[in-house]
Amino acid sequence: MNIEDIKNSFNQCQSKEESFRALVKISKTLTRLDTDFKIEINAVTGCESQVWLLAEKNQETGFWHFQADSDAKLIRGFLAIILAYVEGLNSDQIQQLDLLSQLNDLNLEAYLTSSRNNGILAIITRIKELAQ
Amino acid sequence: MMPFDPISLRQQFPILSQLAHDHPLVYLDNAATTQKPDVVLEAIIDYYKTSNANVHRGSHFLSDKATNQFEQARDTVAAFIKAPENSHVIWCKGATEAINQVAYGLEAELQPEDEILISSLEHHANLVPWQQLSKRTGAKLRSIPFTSDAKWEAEYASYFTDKTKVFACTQISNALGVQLPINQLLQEAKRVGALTLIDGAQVVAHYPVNMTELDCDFYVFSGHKMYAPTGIGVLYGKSAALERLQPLQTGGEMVLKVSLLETEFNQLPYRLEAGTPHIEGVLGLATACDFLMAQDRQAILSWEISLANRVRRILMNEADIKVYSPADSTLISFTVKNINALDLNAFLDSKGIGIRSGSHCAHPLMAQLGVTGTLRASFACYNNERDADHFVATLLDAIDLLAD
Repeated sequence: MNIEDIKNSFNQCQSKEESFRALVKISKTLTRLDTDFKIEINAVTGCESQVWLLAEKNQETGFWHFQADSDAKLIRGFLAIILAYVEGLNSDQIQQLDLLSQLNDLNLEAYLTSSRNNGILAIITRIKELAQ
Repeated sequence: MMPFDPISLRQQFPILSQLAHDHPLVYLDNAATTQKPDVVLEAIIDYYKTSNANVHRGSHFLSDKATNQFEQARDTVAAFIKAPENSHVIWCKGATEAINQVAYGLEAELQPEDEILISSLEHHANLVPWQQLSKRTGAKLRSIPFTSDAKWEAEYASYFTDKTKVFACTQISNALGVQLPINQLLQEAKRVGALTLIDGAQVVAHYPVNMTELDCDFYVFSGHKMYAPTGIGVLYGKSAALERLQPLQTGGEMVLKVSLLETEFNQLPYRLEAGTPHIEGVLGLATACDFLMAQDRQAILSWEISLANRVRRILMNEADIKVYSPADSTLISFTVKNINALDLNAFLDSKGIGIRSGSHCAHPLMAQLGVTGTLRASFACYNNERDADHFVATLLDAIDLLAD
């Protein structure tokens, strides 16, 4: 899913419930990880649900590619969005990206007040750590 | 006694008449904290408008007024729990601080060969202080196992031995809503001469308690779970048991005489109440006690249980739902097969419904049940059938939406 499509679907949401349904819908676009990758070393800690995140840098182009999964659909929805924003960026671009404000612009602020709890903040922090 | 009228009772809780995410608020997280009635809110404001002064200190008009109200509040709470004469009500932050005071206070008495006994149903607040005490003293921490079908193993008596120095146990599990056979357990504890502590945090909002009949050494509860403000709770204790406690905190209010190198501590209850107390919290708690004592508590309890059962009956018929709470509970704790609890919770929240999902601060219990957490809807006096029905209907919608 590209960023324009994401913006189109979330900007139409009028309520937390509609955002939730949109998140569940977009969660289906996230490629699931094989169980082999769902191991401690790939786990994002500080999340209420289980989250795994893998990062790979193309050594020629310097662009990053991420894969992620979670046992919660809500978090998979967020992962689908976040990965769309960071896909194909280099380290500097990822460090400069203000993902929380991008998510805010998608009418997702109702989910972000509890981002410390539900792990979205931990995911964003982890992405920046990996893409040093 | 006021006859129970769910409509007028609900109207006394102003917070409930608001929208949450554009839906009427449905508050079903009462086992975590309850909302506060107008009388409690007014008591807090009234204190600051008319009586604010430090207690037990100055000798002036406001100080005397505040001190009188403050000590009257102690009598009200003592009446609320029917405390016998040779006992005291000690103010503390809540049940957690009360348990910490007792665990810390007994440190000098415990030897490595001693045992501390708890149940497998404890909230972390009634586990971690004992575990840490065990680490500091070498005394062994043991736990009476509880079966997942809400039954105690018959041989629990064998856990009580002459090594058992302390028995600390919850009266009602916060995670499952199941009641423990407190009277039998206390009898066993007394047989072996153990000091006893009962955690009543999940009890006081629903059941009248009677310390004269229960006959435990310590009983603890938090105000905020019984319609009172946060930051105030009670450590009840028999005088002889409280006298054995080394104070957790020292400083102002708890002293009689201080020199540079020595301090003579004040008598009970002040000896265990260092610093300026949470005065408006104390007054709010006493007002919440008066509020509850004026109600038909049996009618309220029946109402709360009937609401939980209204939900329970439907969930029991759903193949993918496993219910952990018994039929006499005011809460319902359950899991839904193959659907993430965070997802269910988020959908319910988007419809204005507040429940709790997670481990309920009881990791060992969750591990024993083989789950990472449960969903818990817990009822209070102001909930109604609409709350229960809206919750069930939305939960079933969420399950449809989230099923793969």
